[in-house]
Amino acid sequence: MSAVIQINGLTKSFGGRPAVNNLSLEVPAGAVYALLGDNGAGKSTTIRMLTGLLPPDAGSATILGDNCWTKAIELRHKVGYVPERPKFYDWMTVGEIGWFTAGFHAAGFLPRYEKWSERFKLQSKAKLKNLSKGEYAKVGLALALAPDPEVLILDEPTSGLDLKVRREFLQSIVGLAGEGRTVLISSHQIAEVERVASHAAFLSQGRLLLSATMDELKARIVRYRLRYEGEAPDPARLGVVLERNGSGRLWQAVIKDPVAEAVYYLRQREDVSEFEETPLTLEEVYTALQSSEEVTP
Amino acid sequence: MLIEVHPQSAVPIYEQIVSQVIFGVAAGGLVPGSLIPSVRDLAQRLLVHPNTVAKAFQELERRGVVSARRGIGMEVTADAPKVCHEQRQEIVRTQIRDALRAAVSSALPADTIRRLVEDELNHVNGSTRSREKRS
Repeated sequence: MSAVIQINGLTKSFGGRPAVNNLSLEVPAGAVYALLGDNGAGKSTTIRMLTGLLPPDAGSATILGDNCWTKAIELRHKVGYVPERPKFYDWMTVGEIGWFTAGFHAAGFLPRYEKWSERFKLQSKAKLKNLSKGEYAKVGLALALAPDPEVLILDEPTSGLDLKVRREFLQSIVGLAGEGRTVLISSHQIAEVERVASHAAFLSQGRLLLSATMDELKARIVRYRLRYEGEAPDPARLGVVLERNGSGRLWQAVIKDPVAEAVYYLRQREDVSEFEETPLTLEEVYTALQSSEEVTP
Repeated sequence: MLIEVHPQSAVPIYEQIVSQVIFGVAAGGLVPGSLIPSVRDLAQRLLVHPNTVAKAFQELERRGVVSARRGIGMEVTADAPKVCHEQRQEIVRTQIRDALRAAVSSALPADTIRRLVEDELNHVNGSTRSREKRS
């Protein structure tokens, strides 16, 4: 089965500085795919290329087989998009903005918009300018969902929302994934996407550091701790060293893609005791990847 | 069925779901023939990806704890209590072992660790009892 979103060597520079650098990703159907990285990592630039707002300098991106730049108009009907800080005609009401936007879409938009706004408990007569931040964000999501898109792209959807609204928002994302829709969500709020995501990609300075399913991630990035008596073990033998530290005879390292055989031998060493192997939380993976990035530019 | 997940834990989320269902059956809260929630409902309640819940249910099915009933959902099997009694002890043993490993590597003396375990056990038992009294 081919990927719903396919990104190959995508590159975009601003003033000679690469914002997205040779990025390749595949988002399978039904995934909740988290695009993670600090501000300036290239998340929003990537999303602007996926939504047809920016042409790539090199490489390509397709959604459902259509090129994101040359077929951008067609894709607008198949891909729901919520920008980071959506802005609508604020003098309209919740109902009016739905009616207005329906004019750009195929039949069925308005009843679906009304269904979603009802589900999000939005008052149809309320003026947009009087809505809370959370309600405003929900209008954005209802508008994005109303064309009944197979793919949903959300740029930092929960930033600035309070805890309760965030929860509701994440709940609707889980519901969408349950219906088989594909969701790409960019965020720097790592802990909250850790629950709902099925995949994660880590970006830094426009480059992809790692992409994996959440289960793979726990196997691919591992922290080893041990106590040794003789010569200190060389962490580089275990795999790619992301972090290392320790004190006295205690030794600790975070290893990417550990080699099972090397781990086995280390474990068997006679002078090694208290051997421990623990997966990292998403936030720890993120920190480890970032810090190793700084060491090797 | 009361299930809670902790995404920050080193234990994968689907395993957390598996062990809590097993505990639920072993404790008698989930009886043979009762239905567990649908993948979609549980995913929304726990705020986790539906695939994660589906994976947990597959694992429970593999272990003979639940079985699919066409068009109805997943049902707790007749053998489940027996299977779960056996597995409960193993799960708890692993969890205790992990905690004890951490305690030992922190260089706490064995006597202190034993006293802490005893204290905590009394504490937890006490709070369960007072909860039972209230209800």
